[in-house]
Amino acid sequence: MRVLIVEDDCDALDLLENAVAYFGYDVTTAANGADALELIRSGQYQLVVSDWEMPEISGPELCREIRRRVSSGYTYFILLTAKTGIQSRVEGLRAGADEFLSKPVDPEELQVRLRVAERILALESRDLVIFSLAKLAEARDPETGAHLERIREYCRVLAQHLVQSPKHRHHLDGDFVQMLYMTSPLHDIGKVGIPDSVLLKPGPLTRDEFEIMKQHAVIGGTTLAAAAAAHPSAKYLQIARDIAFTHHEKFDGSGYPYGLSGEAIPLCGRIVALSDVYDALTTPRVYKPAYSHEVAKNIILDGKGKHFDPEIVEAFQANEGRFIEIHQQLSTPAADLATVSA
Amino acid sequence: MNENLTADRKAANTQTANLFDLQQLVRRCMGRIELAERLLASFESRFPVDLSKIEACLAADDTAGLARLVHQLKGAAANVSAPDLYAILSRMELAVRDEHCDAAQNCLEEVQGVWDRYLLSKSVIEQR
Repeated sequence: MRVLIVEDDCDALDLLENAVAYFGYDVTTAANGADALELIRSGQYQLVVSDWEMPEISGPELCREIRRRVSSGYTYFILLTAKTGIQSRVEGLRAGADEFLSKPVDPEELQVRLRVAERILALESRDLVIFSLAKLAEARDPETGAHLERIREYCRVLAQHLVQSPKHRHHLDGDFVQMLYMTSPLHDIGKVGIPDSVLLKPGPLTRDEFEIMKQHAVIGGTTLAAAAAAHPSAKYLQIARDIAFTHHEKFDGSGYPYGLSGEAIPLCGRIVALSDVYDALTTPRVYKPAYSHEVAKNIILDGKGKHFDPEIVEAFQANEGRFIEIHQQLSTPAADLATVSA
Repeated sequence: MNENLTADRKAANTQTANLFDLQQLVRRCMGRIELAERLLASFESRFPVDLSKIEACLAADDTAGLARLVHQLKGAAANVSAPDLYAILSRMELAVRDEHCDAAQNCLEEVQGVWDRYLLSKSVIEQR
């Protein structure tokens, strides 16, 4: 991994460069903030270690400038400082620094901080890979526009509501919300295994074709289950697996592929089920126009306790405004034109 | 004469750890002796020059220049693992920040004394 070290003192730079290279990183150095910004513009550096006190552009100013710029990836910023006061730390954090290292830098601490940075940056890569995979699967079904982007936002709204409810407060937390947000776009990944003749058919499906279509839940779930089994500590893979298997299950047991009912359906599957249906209703498909929010809402309310978990329907009702906002922000113009009102 | 030299060495040895921690420097250089030597040479050539500049800033009441130089020299002392110099320069930095000129002047005199002892301890180590 590449590390950019920014330090105006030659001796301090030598020491840092030597230690960071010793730990196996590919090191580039800059003697001032301006040179550092030029290097960062190349997009090759996601990890920056910078001194605080430098002429012209200080460490915090450099960090602020990096944060101001639109970049395709996150830049992890470690600020070196001999300052000890809380005020200085607050100033550094306000500038956008992720971590501090006290000068003189201890090599062991430096190594640990760099590993932390790598872990954080790897999380971002993981999120991107997951979403890219989902987009790839979605590419075979082009009519759905920004479906995945909307789905994950709807899921987040519902999960945030549930996390605060007395029933879930003690066993759900922000991690659950984040993992659901990250993995919900994978719900239809099994569609890669459905033939074009079925997946892309413009008219209604025959009974046999529908049986084939229903297999996407099993294909996706089985694929993700294999990944989850190979990496048992990766909880997000378990959630992704549960979502893929169960997002077409119905609360009253009339769904597929297993006919699960009630709380036998994992909570993540119940949340995605409502989000997926809301999105399908409010966006145009080849077989139907887009319905207005009011129409979609009435259909969902009608499905309370049948198709949907009543608790999740209530979460939806409590957050209607946010659903409307998300739909408006992430809809294509074509979807708006084709909307059918109640 | 020999007894005096031995006494000098003993005294220098007991104070060496605080004046100059070679072991720590080599550890921070990840075992690279030549890097440690280069850093020490750089430090020893810059120190008297920077100290003269600090004296000049103090005489000219140039607080901003003084603060910058003391901070840089403090960092340089830390880089080569010279704890006593680092400690006094840290105190001097605070005195400059709080505009306590007398305290800063006292620190400067202390720095000069510690610098002489640092050079002595270095020469003892080099003779070993």
